Amino acid sequence: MSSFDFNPTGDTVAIHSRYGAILISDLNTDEYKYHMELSEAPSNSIIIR
Amino acid sequence: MTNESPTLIAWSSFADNNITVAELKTRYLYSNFRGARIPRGTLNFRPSFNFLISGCWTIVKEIPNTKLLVSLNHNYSESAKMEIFDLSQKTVKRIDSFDRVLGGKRKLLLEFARKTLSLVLLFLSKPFLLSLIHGIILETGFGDVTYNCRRGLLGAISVEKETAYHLYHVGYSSQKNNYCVKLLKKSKWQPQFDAGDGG
Repeated sequence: MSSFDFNPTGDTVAIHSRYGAILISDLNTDEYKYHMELSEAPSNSIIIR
Repeated sequence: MTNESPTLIAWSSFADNNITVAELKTRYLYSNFRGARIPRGTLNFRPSFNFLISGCWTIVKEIPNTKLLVSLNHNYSESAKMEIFDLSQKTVKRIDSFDRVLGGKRKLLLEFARKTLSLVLLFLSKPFLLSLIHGIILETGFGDVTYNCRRGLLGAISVEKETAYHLYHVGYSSQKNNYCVKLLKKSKWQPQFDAGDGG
């Protein structure tokens, strides 16, 4: 895992891996919501709203 | 370190994790103290002068609306440690020091010992070999920390293939007249994290 961020309400977390995957999951339940694979691994990622 | 104009700045050194806090305008050295430290490993060569060789990375982050600083010390392939400091007084006080999270070689060694025992029973079965291969990359990485003000949630320290992050709650205890940081859970590693590494 390279970096991660919580959304302002504190119920969602965005995590990106060093392999270039960004994953959104539920902070309370750890339930997987969504992920996307990038062609290039990002330096960091944040939730902006 | 308020919502208004910042007055203090803090930074941490690489391997020794010395944290310095200084006043922005006057450059007055407000405080200097040791952040979270990882004992020198015996399983790896780790000279302290170069983080690129040692694999050490330190992070210092303010917890907004408090006078707390989070200090992280990550040894990429070995372990990570977190400590919380209270800057409300002139003398900086460590309010919490969490157990070192093991990853990498140390974890691998423990896993290896455990699984070697299993080996006798399993006769080199495929699941055993696969889990051993996964054990090789239990890294704690260079680390990151994030905080949610509304819920007082602090996230830090990942262990690759095992824990996405450790989730803590930062709250104020009026009984103790101090902040209290409690580990809530270890968020599970999602298989989708491994997208792109062939795993």
